[in-house]
Amino acid sequence: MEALLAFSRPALDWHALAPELTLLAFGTLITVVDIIWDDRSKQAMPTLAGIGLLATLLPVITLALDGTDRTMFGGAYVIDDFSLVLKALFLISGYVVILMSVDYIRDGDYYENEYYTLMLTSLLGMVMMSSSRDLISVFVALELLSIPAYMLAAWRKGGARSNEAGLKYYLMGVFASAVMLYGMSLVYGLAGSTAFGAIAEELGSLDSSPVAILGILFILIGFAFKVSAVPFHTWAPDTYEGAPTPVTAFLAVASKTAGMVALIQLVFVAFAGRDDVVQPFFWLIAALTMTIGNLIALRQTNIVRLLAYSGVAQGGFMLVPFAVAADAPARAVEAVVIYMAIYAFMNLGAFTVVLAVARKTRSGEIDSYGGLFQYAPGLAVAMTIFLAALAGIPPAGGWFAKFGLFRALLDAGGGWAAGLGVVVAVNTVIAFAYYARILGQMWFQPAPDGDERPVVMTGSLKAALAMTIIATMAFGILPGLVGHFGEVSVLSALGG
Amino acid sequence: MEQYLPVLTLGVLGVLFVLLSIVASRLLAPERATVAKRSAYECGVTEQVAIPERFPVKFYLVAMLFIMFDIEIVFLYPWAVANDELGLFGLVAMTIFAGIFFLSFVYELAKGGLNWGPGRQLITPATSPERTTTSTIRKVGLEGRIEIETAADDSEAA
Repeated sequence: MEALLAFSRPALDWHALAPELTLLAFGTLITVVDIIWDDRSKQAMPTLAGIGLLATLLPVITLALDGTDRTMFGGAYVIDDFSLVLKALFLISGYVVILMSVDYIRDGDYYENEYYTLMLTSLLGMVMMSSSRDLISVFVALELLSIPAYMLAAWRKGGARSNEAGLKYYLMGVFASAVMLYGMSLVYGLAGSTAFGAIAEELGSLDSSPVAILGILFILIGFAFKVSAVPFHTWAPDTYEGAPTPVTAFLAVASKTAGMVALIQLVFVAFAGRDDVVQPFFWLIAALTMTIGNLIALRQTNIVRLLAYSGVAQGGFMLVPFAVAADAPARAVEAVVIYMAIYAFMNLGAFTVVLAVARKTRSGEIDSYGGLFQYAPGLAVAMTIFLAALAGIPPAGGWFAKFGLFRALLDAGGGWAAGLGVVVAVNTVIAFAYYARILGQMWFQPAPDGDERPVVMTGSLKAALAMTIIATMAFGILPGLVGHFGEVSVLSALGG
Repeated sequence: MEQYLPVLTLGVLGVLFVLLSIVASRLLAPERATVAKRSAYECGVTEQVAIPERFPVKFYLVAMLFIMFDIEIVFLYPWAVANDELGLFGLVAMTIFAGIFFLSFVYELAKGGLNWGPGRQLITPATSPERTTTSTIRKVGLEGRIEIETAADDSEAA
């Protein structure tokens, strides 16, 4: 009892916590401004949220320049290169999503101040997730990023589809959390600690314990729901279609990346010694996710739904390196991180074009993209770049991400890795079929009803488009650039 | 694949448990329905008229308030127990926590979460203030009138 009560003040490294504190401060500031000025402050909200995200990038950059790994709370919270790269990725994706949201939220006459507060809160959860190396802090970060996202998915309050999106996302998310918590309780029961390093030591020495296998699988399945891996993907298409489009982009990119980050930390740190359980699981999940996501995407007629299924399939590609987690750990982490970074920009870009076109056509059907090249050549070219990137055609960014996958598989070697490589190759071809269908529609079909009025672009949409195009092309033409960011190790946390 | 055997076993046991429970309750439970058994259980008075399809659920905001302070107490209680140990550090940490928490209460007040009584009457003037006798005598049409429909939409959304 005495040992339990003994309290020593935890050493707080304010510099290491600065990004989180800045985000929290801006989220609170938006609420305070909302309370004081109410509707008069609406105009300033997107700007304030954007400034908040950029201000949060500053301490991330100073921490990166400083370069020392910092560990807090007995190894539960770690600032290293891996976490900093991902924090920056979350913040930049969040900034692009806010640029996409400005006009959508204002024109739709939705709640504005709350929207941006919740967006910043969700991003705070993601920023925390990339530093968490402990079951409890991972779970807190996960809930912090998920709960605002449930509300954002239902933001079109009057629309039945948006309500459906929010409810489905909420119920499936909570169910996944419950499964995950069950797994965590089993793992904690075995390891006697929530820290990833201690769990790795304990689980590695318990070879044939059935409880360990159950615990590991339940935790992984919980996160498989989050990253919408088949067969746990059923919520994703309905949620993506019903939610407001900027929120869909946010869920498809930032939320999925956050789930992947948690999986990286779990698989490569906490379950490092249990490749006998982890590798076959991910082999199966990755192959299923790629194939089923792509096959269903072939049949879609709504572009948001198509991008949702394509997002499921892309998630499958990201899961591929996990199947060789123990055989080639360094290459596998690199492949996932690079894939996440490139995927964020190409997918956000595709959603920006969808948002811009929908401002004119008021439709998400693929048929409505006819004649886009005639009346909005710039948007058609931008969409072509993003779809080429998603399909993996050089010089747009996506090819380098796919190249990373194959490199990890080849490094691992062996029959299973080669088999998965074949699945990846086949799926790349299938994916090209439906991306090409949109391309054909844009370039060769006439505009529906001969309606060739130009699309009205707003400044913030242009900025979002410019950022995503530059990033996508830069990753394709100068892969060394992103390759450098990928060379991060998550294993340093084991020592801390 | 033998490492997944326990998972398979657990899955089979789970399915068996559900099936057995359903079958057992069918076989074992006696079915003797009476009027008292079939009526709504302890749900107040039997309704006399059909309730309207939509009715205000403003009271959920009060329930939210309750949950908010419930959560605060969950965190305050362990702090109170361990106050001697935590000392000044605990006091400062809890003050920051309570401060941010208080903001959510202020937010609810500011948004009219506790405004009871009759709903606020939104008095929208039917005509614009620029309208004068000189401008109306000749114009009988809709010019000069505020678009009441859009104004009502705005107030609903806000």
